[in-house]
Amino acid sequence: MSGTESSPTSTLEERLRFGAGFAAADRLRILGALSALAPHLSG
Amino acid sequence: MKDTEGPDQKVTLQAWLAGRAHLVATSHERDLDHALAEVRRDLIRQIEEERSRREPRKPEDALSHDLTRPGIRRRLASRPRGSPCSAVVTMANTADLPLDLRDTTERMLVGYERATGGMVARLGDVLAVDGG
Repeated sequence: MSGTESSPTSTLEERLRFGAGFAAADRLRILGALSALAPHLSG
Repeated sequence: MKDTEGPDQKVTLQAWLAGRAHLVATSHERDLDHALAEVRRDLIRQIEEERSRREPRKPEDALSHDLTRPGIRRRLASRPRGSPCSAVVTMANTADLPLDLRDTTERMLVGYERATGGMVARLGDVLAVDGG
């Protein structure tokens, strides 16, 4: 595995920007909660 | 997220999609996980609505086109020339869904098939609409 493949989920991770009110520690939790969005964004 | 811990806590999820509208989903749920689930569902619905508006499909290639994306769709199949018959085809592509969602969706589809005696076409199925 090269680790450079761009899956829908990794694309979401790269593109998601957090606004005020979220701590860095929330990032993984939020990415998990929003992961189902990824296939819809890549289509 | 605005007014954290306050009475008007609000979670907003915005998406800018290339060539599409700016989509916004908000939730006033107090629990963050519930709020995230709500904005996620709402944004997916908006994306699919926007996609449907932007990509009107020709009846003749609707079936193959639809199954290239995840989701479940019911569509009136194109009517064979000279035939008065038509059919509503239910199609599902669960291949790209997260594993937990895929399993849940598959169980739901099997339940639907048992309850109705119908069939849901899956990705890879070959369909034929017979004009009879």
